[in-house]
Amino acid sequence: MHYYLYDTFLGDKKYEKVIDRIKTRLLDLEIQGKHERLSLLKNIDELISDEVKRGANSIIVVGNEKIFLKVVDAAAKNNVSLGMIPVGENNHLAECLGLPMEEAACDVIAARKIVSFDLGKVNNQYFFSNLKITKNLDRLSIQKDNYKIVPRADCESVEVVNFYLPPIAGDFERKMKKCTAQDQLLELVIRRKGQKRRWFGGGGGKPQIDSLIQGNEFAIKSFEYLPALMDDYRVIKTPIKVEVEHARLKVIVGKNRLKIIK
Amino acid sequence: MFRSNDDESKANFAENDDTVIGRSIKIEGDLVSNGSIVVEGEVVGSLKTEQTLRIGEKAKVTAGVKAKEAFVSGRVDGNISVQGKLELAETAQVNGDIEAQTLSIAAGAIFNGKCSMTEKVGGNAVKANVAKTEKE
Repeated sequence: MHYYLYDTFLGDKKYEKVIDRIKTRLLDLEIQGKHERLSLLKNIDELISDEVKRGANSIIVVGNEKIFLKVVDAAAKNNVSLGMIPVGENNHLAECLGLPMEEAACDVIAARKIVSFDLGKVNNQYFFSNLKITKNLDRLSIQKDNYKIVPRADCESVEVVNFYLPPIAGDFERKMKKCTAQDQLLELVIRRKGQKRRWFGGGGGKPQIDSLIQGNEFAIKSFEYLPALMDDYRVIKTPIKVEVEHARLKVIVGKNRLKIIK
Repeated sequence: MFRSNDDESKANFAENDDTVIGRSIKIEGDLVSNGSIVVEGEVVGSLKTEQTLRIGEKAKVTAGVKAKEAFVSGRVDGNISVQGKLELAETAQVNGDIEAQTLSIAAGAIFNGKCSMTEKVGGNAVKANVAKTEKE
């Protein structure tokens, strides 16, 4: 049974017609199930675990990649497959997974091509894309195997990446090709502060990738509690141990997914 | 003439490199890797790889180094042991002993230490010559 979760922003009137079209298409394809609109008062993790107990075996999120990332933890813990019907902006993840927009994605859900992805695990919580620390990086130390990585003050961010999501469509950094989420490895990516903007627009100020280290476990420690942002929505505090869990999440993907996704 | 540092870092950052240690980090301890390593920052401890090692111009390595092949442009304080080719660029500064099968030292490179070359005889590497060298 499918369990459809609608993001909060879809309550806006401008999405009414799109939602109707999606529901009609789901009816045509006979992949109906329970539909639920999210609100600020509803807890996603509880909703999903309750529905799984009632027999749901697929969670389909309707909205943008933010809701997909929020559902990853609960989907992995409950061992159900995860699909997405992309609506609205911020849907680069859907492009990567080969999911067309709006009602066209229903056909992909019906075809049910499932691919397993690795997930990052921090303090018993799963993340799909990345874990990011941006503050007081010179007070941080990262232990990997038999060595310690000490970032300097000119670092912009320290990220542990499982699957690379480009911040802007078309701005895919080729160096990040390794972050595929199917190689049983996490990538520690350290970015250096961008240079100051020069005359004639030179410099740009964009933080560049300075260091890239692959591994399956990183222990991040600091002198004081530092906030780390998991998949851009959940904050946890250091010290943290980040590890990879192989093939932990099953995701419904389309034909036009990135070539690096097997 | 107007080459920016962005271009420089792009040139140093090959896509196939498994581990890249940039200028903004310092590594302390024993770094062992199966893939190739690029060092642009600072390493203290030991450095071992079964593939290629590149030490950039601004890098500072205070460690014993072991690799299949190595290209050094920066400073290394420690012994270097390479199975294949070791190349010291004109900006390289090595304070330590070198062991390699093939050695190339560019004019301007600084090398203080002993050099021991291995010779390939019927597929087996044999130590051929040990010489104390000081070249500047």
